[in-house]
Amino acid sequence: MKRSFAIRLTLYILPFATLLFLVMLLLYYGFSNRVLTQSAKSNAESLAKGAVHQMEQVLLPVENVAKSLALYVELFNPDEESIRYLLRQTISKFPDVFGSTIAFGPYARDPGRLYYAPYAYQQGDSIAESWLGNQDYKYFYLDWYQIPTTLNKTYWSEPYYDEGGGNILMSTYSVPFYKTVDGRRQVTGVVTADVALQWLTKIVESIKIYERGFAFLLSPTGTIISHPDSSLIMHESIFSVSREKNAPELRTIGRDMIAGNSGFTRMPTVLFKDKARVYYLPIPSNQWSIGIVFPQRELYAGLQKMTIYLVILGIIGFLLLWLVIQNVTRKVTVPLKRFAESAHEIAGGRFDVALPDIRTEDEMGELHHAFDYLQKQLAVYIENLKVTTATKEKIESELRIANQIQMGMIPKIFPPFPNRPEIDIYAMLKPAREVGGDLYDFFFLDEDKLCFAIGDVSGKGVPAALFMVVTRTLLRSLVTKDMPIDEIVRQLNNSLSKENESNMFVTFFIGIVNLSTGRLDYVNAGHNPPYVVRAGEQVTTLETTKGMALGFIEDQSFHFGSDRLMPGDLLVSFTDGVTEAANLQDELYGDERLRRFLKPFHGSHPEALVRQVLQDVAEHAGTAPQSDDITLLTIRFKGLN
Amino acid sequence: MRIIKRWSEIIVCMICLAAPASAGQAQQASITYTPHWMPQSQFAGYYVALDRGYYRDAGLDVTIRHPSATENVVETLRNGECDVISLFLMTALEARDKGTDMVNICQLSQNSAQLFVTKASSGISRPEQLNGKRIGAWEAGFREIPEAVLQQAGSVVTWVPIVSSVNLFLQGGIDAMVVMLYNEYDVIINCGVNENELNRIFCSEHGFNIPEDGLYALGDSYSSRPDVFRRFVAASLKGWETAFAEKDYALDLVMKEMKSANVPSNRAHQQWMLDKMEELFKPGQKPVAEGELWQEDYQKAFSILSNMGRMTQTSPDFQAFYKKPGR
Repeated sequence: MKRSFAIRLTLYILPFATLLFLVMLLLYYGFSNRVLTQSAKSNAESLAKGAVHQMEQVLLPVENVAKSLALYVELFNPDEESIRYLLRQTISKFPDVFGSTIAFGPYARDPGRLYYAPYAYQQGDSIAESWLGNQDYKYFYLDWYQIPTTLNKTYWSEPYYDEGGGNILMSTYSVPFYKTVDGRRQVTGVVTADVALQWLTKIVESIKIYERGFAFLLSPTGTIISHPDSSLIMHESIFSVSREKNAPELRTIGRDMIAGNSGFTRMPTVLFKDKARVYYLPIPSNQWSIGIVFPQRELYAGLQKMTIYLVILGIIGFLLLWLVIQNVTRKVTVPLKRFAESAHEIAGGRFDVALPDIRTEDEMGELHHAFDYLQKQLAVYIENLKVTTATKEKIESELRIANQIQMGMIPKIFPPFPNRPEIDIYAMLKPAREVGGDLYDFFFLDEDKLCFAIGDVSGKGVPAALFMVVTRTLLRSLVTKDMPIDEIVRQLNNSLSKENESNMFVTFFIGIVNLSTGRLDYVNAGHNPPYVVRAGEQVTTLETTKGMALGFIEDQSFHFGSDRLMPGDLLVSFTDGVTEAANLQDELYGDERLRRFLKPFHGSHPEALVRQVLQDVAEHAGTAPQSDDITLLTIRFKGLN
Repeated sequence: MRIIKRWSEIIVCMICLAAPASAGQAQQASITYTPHWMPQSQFAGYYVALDRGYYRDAGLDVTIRHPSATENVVETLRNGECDVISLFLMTALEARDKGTDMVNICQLSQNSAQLFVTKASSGISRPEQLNGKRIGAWEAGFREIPEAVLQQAGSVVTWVPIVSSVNLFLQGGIDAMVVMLYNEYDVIINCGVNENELNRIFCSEHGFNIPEDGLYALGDSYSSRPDVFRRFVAASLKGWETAFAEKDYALDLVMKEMKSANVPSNRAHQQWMLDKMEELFKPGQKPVAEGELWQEDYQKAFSILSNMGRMTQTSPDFQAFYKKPGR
């Protein structure tokens, strides 16, 4: 199955984007969580501090009233009337003080009275008075008296329900007062101020935090003094709740609270069904502790909502990203596809095919430029190629003509002299290129003398061909019936050497056979010596005569050699294209091989010899290209019958 | 027609129900029981017996009336304001010695629940170490056995009377406090003091495992209708049995009683108390059944009081004091 570019790109990008998104989400959640928790703590803290401040504003003045009374009693030991007046005035002047007593220890005030504790208290709008202490109310053994007198310190009592005062929750502040007896300060009794606690619980109840968050108040023994669930108030302590709900962490929190510490911690799932947090703070004057509780979920509700939004946004983002990738890849791949199509068209030869319309200066633009350039260059190239090809074709055709002309200049009709039975001639010239530099020729000088020549022009191709033509033309124009053969060569050399700007030369062999005698006169100007295949498988080389190749030096003399041909002898002249024919291993055909090959040909027809030699040479060369012109000229002397 | 028929049926039923009830009432003996303290799990068995109808089934019309905080229940019994009271054995012996003709008709608690608690930080963990210390104890009494423990250890202490709170102890105003395991001890725990922050000196572990709660009636009253008291005891024991078997139900009743008496209450503490009651009621090694008084316990209690010079009589008359509950 072929995965499209879009899918591959998506597979690369989406996992990474998802990871990135998740990491960012986690970081965001963690960070926000911390910030929110911190802000919740500050929020709860400021609420708690505010409440504590409000409570202290009531409690501290009450403490001061009781302390002032105690000081007054200690300093002035007022009489009963004054004491009662003082208490009544206290109640009327300080509405926060619900009741007040100056309670003396056993017989401390009056040796005749065990109990002495005048008490004034609010009763509706008026002030009532009574005496505390009797068989059923032994106040010496009650906390509000016993604890401050035992410990010599002021004391806020545990809250209690005042049965006389309409069952309202009260707390009593006690200040011990003293008498100096025999120089020793002895506790004589306590001054108390009772405070109703409804206002206080109202302060606590009014604290609202988040949706369901609330505040509660603990006494120094952990008793719940204020709580939204009124059934807990004064019945339960944080410790009894901890045990009943089997939440030991709550006990730990309670102990820290009544120890007068402040803190911000997790609340066990007791007060709410879910996780909660609590901030707590002590009230310095009476050692109570206020706790502010709120469900964690509410604290994080916004965050969770936000997180859900983010996740939804993320999903939408992914969908959009998907679409964008699809779109982008389509934008990229559609031109690519069209480029591909264009490439196919161009390959098919349509260079003018329209390219995709790209206007951007990006990689796609570069590709467009490249394609455009390619298209133009191809067109130019092909145009050039057309011209070059045409030119080449023209040259080739001219060369073909030149070849025809060249070939037309050498005798090609065999047998050339059908009416001369004393001789058979066969020759073949195989140019390596269209035109060659080899030449041969033969013609009769008179009735008996046959002149023949073979030559090989240095170089190849057109210059060699031209030089060959010149050589052949000069030969024919110079040769006369009676001119000695060495003179012919000398004149030919002079003509070729003159104004030979290109320094070309030609190896040349010329011979004249007297058909009536078999005498052979020849001049060899730097050419491969021809072989004579004689009877008895004898192959001899015509002895070399003095003389260099033609065209080198003007006015040099040439000597001629002579031999005699016997009937049946074959004179085989050739160019080095035969002996230097190389195979792929660069091994030359060689003189020796030719000589051996020629042995059995005595008496054979020249055409058979030429064809078989050429075939042997071709076999030797194999697939190696022909590098030089190959020319063979063979004459069979049959003699005079 | 149909409706009328239904109504007639209902009326017939009501008459049928009412008839035996009123007939029963005529036969039912009326008993007023006054526990020696305000409502709490210490009396759960009686609430259960009443609520489950064990008393009614026994042909009794029982009223449970708790005393006020300052009421002396012995006085209440002597005055004829009630028929049965519950009382510590020691208190009962002393009251009898002082002239109240009281008989034990059932001994529920078999063990002493009294102990001294000290703060672990004080290092006090043996009675001898209490010598010279200030010890809080109920102003109302009940400290004969702790005194006997201290006497045995040779410790002389300063007693600090306390009415009802553990705050003086918590505040450090006293070195030790005599508490009931089922009550004040747990109150201290519920004030945030951990058990490992306290040392406990149990009276029972120092040779004074004297039983506590028992039921008492006036001798004459008992003689005049012993069967009624026996039925009351049997139904009460059955009530206790149910209370221990169905603690949640019993606690519901306790909490209801406490709420209606407007007494501060919390279930955790009452649960603790009920659990401890169950332990205290078990005779253990003592050769008696639940609800019975072991003569040796009686004699030991008597001699403790005698040694303190609290008793005027010299020889304990167990038979006269103890009326074994019928089964």
